[in-house]
Amino acid sequence: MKKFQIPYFIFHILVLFALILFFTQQALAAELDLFASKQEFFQGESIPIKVFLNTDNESINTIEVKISYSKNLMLKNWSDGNSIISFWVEKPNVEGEIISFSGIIPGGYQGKEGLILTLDFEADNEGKGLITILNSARLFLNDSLGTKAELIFKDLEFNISRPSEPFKIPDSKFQIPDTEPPESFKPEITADPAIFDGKWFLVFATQDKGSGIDGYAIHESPRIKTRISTNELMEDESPYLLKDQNLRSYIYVKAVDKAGNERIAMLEPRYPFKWYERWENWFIILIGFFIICAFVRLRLKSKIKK
Amino acid sequence: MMENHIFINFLWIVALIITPLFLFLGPTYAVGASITATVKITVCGDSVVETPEQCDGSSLNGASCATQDFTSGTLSCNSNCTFNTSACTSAPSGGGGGGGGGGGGYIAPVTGVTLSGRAYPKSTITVLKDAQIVATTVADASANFSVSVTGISGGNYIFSVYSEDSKGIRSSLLTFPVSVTSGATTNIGDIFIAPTIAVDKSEVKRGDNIAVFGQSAPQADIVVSVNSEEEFFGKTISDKDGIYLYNFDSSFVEYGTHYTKAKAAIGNQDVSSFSNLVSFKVGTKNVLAQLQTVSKKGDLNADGRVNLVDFSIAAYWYKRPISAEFATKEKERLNGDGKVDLVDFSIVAFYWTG
Repeated sequence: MKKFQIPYFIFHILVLFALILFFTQQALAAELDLFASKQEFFQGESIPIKVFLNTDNESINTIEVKISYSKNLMLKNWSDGNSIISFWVEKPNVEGEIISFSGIIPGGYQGKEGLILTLDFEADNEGKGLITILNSARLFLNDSLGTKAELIFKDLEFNISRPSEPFKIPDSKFQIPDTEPPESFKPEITADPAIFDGKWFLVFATQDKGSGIDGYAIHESPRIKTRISTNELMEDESPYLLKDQNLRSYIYVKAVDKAGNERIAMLEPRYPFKWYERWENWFIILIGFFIICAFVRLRLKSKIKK
Repeated sequence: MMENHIFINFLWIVALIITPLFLFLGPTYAVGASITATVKITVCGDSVVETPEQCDGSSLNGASCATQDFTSGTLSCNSNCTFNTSACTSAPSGGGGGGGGGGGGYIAPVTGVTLSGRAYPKSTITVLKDAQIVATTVADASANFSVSVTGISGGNYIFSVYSEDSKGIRSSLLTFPVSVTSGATTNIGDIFIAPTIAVDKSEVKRGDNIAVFGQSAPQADIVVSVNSEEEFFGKTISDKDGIYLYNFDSSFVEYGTHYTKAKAAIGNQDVSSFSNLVSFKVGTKNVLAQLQTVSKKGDLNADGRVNLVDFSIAAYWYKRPISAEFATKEKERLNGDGKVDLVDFSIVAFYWTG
């Protein structure tokens, strides 16, 4: 009897210490959280899911996440409004029932409930809705070496039921009231032999605190414009290879958020046309010259008549 | 048998008491392991008077013209949460009083953020909003600074600050998430930028001293840490210009590469985060170090800054076979594994200057 009592106690102590180790390890790891506002959704109802980062005592500067969702869910939209991610390495991209994205937080993020992304799902069929963070998710420490951080995450499960009366399917646009345009930003022209064969290119980025950035459009023009028509703006992304490699054009970059609010940033030409290089100036000069000539001629004629 | 049960029960009780203590101590140990700098965030415009605000909107914190050494009138609050005494009057000594002026209206504060704290005397402080430069300012002779950022909307932002010392050495980036309230000024106070750090030798002959120096706030307690198998701590005090120097006796550490960092403290309350890490080698000879003011790491276009341009260059080569020309840069300025992956982006994000 005696032989068993002490090892039995030691066994329990070991279990306790294993638990201590487990909980302390958990406390030291960064955490990716999936959050739904409720547990029950109706078929056809919008299901906003927020992806949060809780860093505990770590500072995280880079993330890579893949999220899978059950076949009865359909991803209608996503928003990076209010996201802690400053720049996307890979914007959220959907393939099959997997959404993947990666991005950076310069200087690192240390805190709780750092919103990464809001995913807007809609349920096709009733049953269990399941959203899972895949094991390939990686977080990197802000430690100058890109060390992988310890990471914990768990699945999100909710119920989808058939509504007793037909559910009004909302507009596919993001249901976030947003009247504010994206944040002001300043594009930058640069060139580097490492990319685009050393040609001039444009970099730009901004954020939108409401519905998130939907996209960018660019227009290059040798003349300053007060209005740019939609068909003049070409949708594109940063880095953008400039068409005018002589840098003589005004560059307009329009950022549009998911609610349709716009902000246009304008860059003046680095080497603007001189006045004598513009044909319209010569046209005005010629017209002026002809007017003066006509006036002088009229004066001369009237003098001769007198 | 009975005694044995009592003994086991006693041990169980002890274990059950100790266990929660261990659970509680776990995270505390982690906090101690990575010293975190704290900043104080208050919101001017939320009608709640928080230190160091004098008032906030219509909340005057019980103050009136009388408490501000006036005799009568109406006390109001400025948009920066300081008292507006323009409508307060003092009774003249003798003589009749004039007519009362119109009451000062409350001016709604604009949406903005004010950052204040300590850097280095006369140093330039750069403020980043969501990783892009939005403001710069110069600290006074006591190293105090204050800078406002306006023209922003309500929402969550990541603000970062860094400074450059008198030798042009940059501090580490101090970053904090801030929730900005629309129509209010959010004050981020008690910022204490980490000291700059450099060493006089890249290799020190074991037994000789190596000088660890840099700049912080004047008269600050500087703790210099040298990481080896065992961590060594040394203390010194910065001078009136914030300059500090600590001579570390290399005989305490083994041959090989070691790292040093520093943090500053004023009193027991204001503690900065740790500086960047600087490496040195303990060997058989002394080799003087060249003062490197700007890190090459992450700076892919070699313009002395790490910003969106460098991110874009890295993004261009992400998941692509890199060119021979870029391979040289990748080796020198990223992690040198011959490809651009997320580890490289993490390096760019760490060395970010905006």
